[in-house]
Amino acid sequence: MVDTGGTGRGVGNNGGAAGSNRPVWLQQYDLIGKIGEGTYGLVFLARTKSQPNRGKCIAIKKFKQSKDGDGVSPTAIREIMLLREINHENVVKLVNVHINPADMSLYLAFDYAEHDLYEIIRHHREKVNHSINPYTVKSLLWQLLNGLNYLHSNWIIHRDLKPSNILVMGEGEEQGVVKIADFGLARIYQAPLKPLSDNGVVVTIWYRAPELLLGAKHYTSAVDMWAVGCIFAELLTLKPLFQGVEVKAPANPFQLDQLDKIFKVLGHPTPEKWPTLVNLPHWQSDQQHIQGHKYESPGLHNVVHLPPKQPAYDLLSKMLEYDPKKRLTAAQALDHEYFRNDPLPGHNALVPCQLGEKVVNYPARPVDTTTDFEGTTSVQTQSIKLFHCARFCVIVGEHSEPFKSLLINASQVNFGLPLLRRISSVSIDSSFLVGAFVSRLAGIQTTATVTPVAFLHFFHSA
Amino acid sequence: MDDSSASAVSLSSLLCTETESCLDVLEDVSEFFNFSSDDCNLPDTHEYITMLVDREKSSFGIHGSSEVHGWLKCARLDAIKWILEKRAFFGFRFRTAYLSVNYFDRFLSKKCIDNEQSWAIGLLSIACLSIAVKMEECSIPGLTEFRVEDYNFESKVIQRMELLILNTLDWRMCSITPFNYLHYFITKISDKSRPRDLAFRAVEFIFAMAKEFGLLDYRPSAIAAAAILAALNKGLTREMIELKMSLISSFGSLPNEEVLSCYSLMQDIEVEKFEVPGYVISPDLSTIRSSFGNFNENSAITSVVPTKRRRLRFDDSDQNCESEKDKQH
Repeated sequence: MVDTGGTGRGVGNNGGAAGSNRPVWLQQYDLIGKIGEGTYGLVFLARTKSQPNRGKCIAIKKFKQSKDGDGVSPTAIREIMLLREINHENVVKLVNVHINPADMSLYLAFDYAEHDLYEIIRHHREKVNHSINPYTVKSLLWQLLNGLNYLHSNWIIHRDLKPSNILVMGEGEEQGVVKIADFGLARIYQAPLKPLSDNGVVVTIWYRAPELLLGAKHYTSAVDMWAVGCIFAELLTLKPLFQGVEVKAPANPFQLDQLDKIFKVLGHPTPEKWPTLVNLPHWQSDQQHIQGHKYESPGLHNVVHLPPKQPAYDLLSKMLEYDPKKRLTAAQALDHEYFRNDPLPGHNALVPCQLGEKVVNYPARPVDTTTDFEGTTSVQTQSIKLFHCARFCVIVGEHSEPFKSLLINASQVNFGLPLLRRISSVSIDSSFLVGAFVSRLAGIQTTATVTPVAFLHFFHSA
Repeated sequence: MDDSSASAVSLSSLLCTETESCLDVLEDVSEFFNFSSDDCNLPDTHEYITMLVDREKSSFGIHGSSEVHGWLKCARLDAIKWILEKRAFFGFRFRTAYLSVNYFDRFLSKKCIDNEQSWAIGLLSIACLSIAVKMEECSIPGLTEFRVEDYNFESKVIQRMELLILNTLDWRMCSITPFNYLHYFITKISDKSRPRDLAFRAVEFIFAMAKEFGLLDYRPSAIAAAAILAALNKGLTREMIELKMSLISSFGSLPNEEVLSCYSLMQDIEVEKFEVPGYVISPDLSTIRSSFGNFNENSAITSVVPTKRRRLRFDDSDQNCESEKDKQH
């Protein structure tokens, strides 16, 4: 399961490949290229060289080195430890853990999934211009809930469910099977929870449950169900349901705009419907702000274009229940009428069983073949390039082509998706790197649809 | 990481060990079942405990035995004392200390460390504690803050040791501990008059047990149950224990025989240990001060290579009762 490049002999041993030699463990793979980048590090696509799985695609996630003097990163320990406990069809499978002896970096090898919900939704929104067929929506949702039900019954809370973390297998035996991925923030057996903003982890707030936005200290499995509700709505409409503008500050700041976006659609929560609401820190301290705007009629059905009597709407509204105690659980959701009506959910979510249904061919994940494992220390360099590019864009004007590509790429950074091919073509030799600038740039990473003008505005006002 | 808050915590625990520890126990055990909690779904405690017991059953025994002899037994005792001292110093949870010892024992059940490498025990202690802290704590001190006496390890060396441990233990780091059960069992067994004191005493028994017999030979649920029974009354008969146990194990699968044998071990420990009461939970201030002094003394040493090849020991001001036993070895 775990290997140390064949040199894990003993304490203080720093043997193994160094310099330009490829580490032993790496020699069992053919590297194809980089497929993703996130706050955690980089993801590569590779093929296994040896039998029995010769030619099989593997996603290799490289953890960013932790700060000098901190040892193995807590995120890596927690994620790997969790993945070792998990075994379910709808959860991503950890195939191997590799330790690079020279620099002690960690690589996780997973079964490769060609698609994810972020790309599938984007493909429909931008390329095919029609909604995702009902069979596919239902099958994706059912499998997502099935995986989540497994996690929750093992007392694991994911905490960071969002479309880009819900993978879907491409061609092969498991085609169209959903895999929940990215357990960097997940918790088991009530390990304590760090505020989400720690370690520079950027988590989009769009899928964050209202109790957390209101300052609840305890995470429950209900926070995952809220996220599933948001994802369900997004599958139906191809747009994020609650697109709040994130407040960027240390120590988990109060996200008023996100709450406001929720209230606008669902109406204000009331202590009558949600008794423990009054105990939540922000409900008490920011009462004026929160209750400043009055939104009268709940308009969820208008937003998702579903008649209130449809089972799909009923299920969605029960996932988006304000009171976490009343919110549907994964097990209850799987039991919902929606899944018993035609079309029934299937194993291959991408290809409907019935003939005559149009099959959408989703594009393969783009691969950046210019980056090698040897370039794996370039996370920082890439980010700096991004910042330089942003700086350049601001200088040359808001409508320049690089600016647009920055916005696209910045949003991709946030969703851990492939990026930067175009950015790296913009070479700006500038030494500008200002802390505030970095955080503002991070600010736009969560707003994929923001326009250049809006970005500039945000930029100056923030 | 967040050094400032870590030192703030440690300062308060330095000044008022007893109270802090009490609160800590309460927090440790009641965190999950925080009934007064505002906003969370109450976990179905029965379901949770059943899940834990099932998991425990399926993984029990695969970690080998924690029986060690000779110099290693002494070194292990010193290591546990060091871990508990750091726990008090930094204000970590008891569960964190327990997990560290769990990793320590599991590592030694798989890899040998011979007498010539006694410095490795110090390194092992640091890395075990560091991993447990990363698993359990919100505020994580930098590696260099975990110093053992005599040796000063570079961060890179500690990191390498962390990886060796993680690798050796196959990354299975989320062991179930008695602390997962403590609160549930206490509410079932006790008359609820003074649950905090009971929890506190039970924790003492758990660590006394850890020091004396290792943690791999009994299931965490059995240790938790036995510790509460021992804390409740050291003179229970078999029948009384079985009666108490029937109160807990409505779900049926608690290992009664294990609880009984664990309980009888704890009875013996108590007689021995309570000549010096309460060391485990509230180390004497002088101990901490003297250790403090030693940190400074050794801060210049930065090599992995031990400067003095001697067994890790606490200095004489450490008022533990191990000197008698050490002579026997």
